[in-house]
Amino acid sequence: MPLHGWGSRFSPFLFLLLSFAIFGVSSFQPRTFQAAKSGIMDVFAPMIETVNRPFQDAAAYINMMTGMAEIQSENHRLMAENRKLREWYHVAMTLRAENETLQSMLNIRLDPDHRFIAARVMADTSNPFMKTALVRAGKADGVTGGQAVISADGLVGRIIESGRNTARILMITDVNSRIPVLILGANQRAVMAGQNDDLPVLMHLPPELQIEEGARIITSGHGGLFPYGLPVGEIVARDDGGFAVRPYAGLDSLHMVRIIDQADDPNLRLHSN
Amino acid sequence: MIYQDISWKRVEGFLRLSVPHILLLLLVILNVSLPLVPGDIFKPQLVAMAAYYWAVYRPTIMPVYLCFASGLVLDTLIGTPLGLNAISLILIHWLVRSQRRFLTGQTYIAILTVFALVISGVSLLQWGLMALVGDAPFGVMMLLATAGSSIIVFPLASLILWQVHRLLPAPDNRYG
Repeated sequence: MPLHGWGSRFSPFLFLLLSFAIFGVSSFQPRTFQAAKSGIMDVFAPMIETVNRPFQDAAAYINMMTGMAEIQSENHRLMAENRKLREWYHVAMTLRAENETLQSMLNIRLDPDHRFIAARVMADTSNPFMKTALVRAGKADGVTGGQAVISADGLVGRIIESGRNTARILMITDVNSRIPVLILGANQRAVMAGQNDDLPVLMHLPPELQIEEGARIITSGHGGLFPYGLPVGEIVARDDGGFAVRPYAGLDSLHMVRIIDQADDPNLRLHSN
Repeated sequence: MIYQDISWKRVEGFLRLSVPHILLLLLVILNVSLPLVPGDIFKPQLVAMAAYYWAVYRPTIMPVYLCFASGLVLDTLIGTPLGLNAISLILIHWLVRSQRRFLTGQTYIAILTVFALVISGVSLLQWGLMALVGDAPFGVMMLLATAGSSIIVFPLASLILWQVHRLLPAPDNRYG
C-alpha cells in the first residue's frame, strides 16, 4: 500500500514534534481546536453508543432478572417511605404557601424557573487526568457551555464542550472544578474544589468554624453559573482537619442526567413570543 | 478467468488488511469507555496495546501517521489536551520499532515485560506533561492503576490481535 510506505518513510520525529506543538497549543489555548473536536465527537458519538448500548441493555436485563427478591423488599421499603413522604408533602405544601405569602408581602424578587434538557450519558470518559462524561445532547438541543448538570440525586457538574449532538460534562470531582456552595445549618459559604478523587474538598472556610458531619451542601448561586439550591452532597471530615463533600449523585454510574437550561424568565418569554 | 482471480485476490487482501483497522476503531471506542466497568480505576490503554503489538510484529499495519491520528481522536473523545495520546502512541511505535529485531525473537513473557516497562514509562510521561501544563498536581496512584490495568489486559488483547494477525496476507517486504 503506497500510504503505508509513505508513513513508514516519514520521520516519526516530525510527527512527534507536531504532536508536541498541538499539545502546547491545546493546553494553553483550549478553544483553538474546539470546532474540530466537536466535529469528531459528533462523528464518533453513534459508534460509542452502538458499542455501549447492547452491554448496558444486557446489564439492565440481568439486573432485572436476578434482583426480583431485592426488588420486592425494596418495594416494601419504598411503600413505607412513600407513606411518610406523603405526610411531609402536605407539610411542605402548607409551608410553601405560607412562604409565598410572606415573600409577596416583603416584595422579594425570586429567581426565575429553569428549563431542563434530559440527556443519556453515552460514556464515562474519566481518566487519571480528567473526570468527564459524554452525553447525547448538544447545541441542537440547546446545550451550551457552562450549563449545570444534575442527576436524580444531586449536582453532577457542568457542560464544558458542546458539539451539535454531543456534549462533555466536567464532573464536580474534577481537579478543575470550583463551585460556590452553601453549608446548610452553619449558613456558611465556601468553594467546593474537585481533587480528581471521589471526595471534593471545601475551601475558604474560617478556621474556627464548627461543622457537623453529614451537614447538607447546596449550590449558593454566587457567580451566576449554577442556580441557587441545587443539592450537592454532605459533609465528611478529613484526616487533616479539613472538610470534604460526599456527592449525592452517583458519579460512577450515571445513565440519565438533566442539563439546566437558562432561566425561563416569563418576561423574556413574552418578548420572544 | 485469470483476471477475475487476480481481482478477487486483491479484494480479499484488502478485506483482510481492513480487519486490523476496524479492530483499531473498536479499541479506540473501548479505550474511551469500557462498557460495564464503572469508575476510572480500570482504564486499560487498549490503543497503546495495539500500537505496541503491531510495532513488534507488523509495523506497516499501524504506521506512525495512524498512531498520530488515533492519538488525536482518542484525546478528543477522552477530553485530554490534543496531542497527549498522540505523543504516547508515536513514542511507543518509534521505540519499539527500533528494537523490533531484538523483540521478535523473544518469548511471550519477555514481550509482556517490555510492554509493562513501555506502558509504565508512557504513563509517567503523560503524568509529567499534564503536571507541566496543569494548575494542580495529579495523583500518581490513579496513573499506576491505569498502567496496571493495561498490563493485566494485555495478554487478552494480544491474543485477539494475534488472531487478527493470522488473517493478514503475508508481508510483501522485509519490514512486514
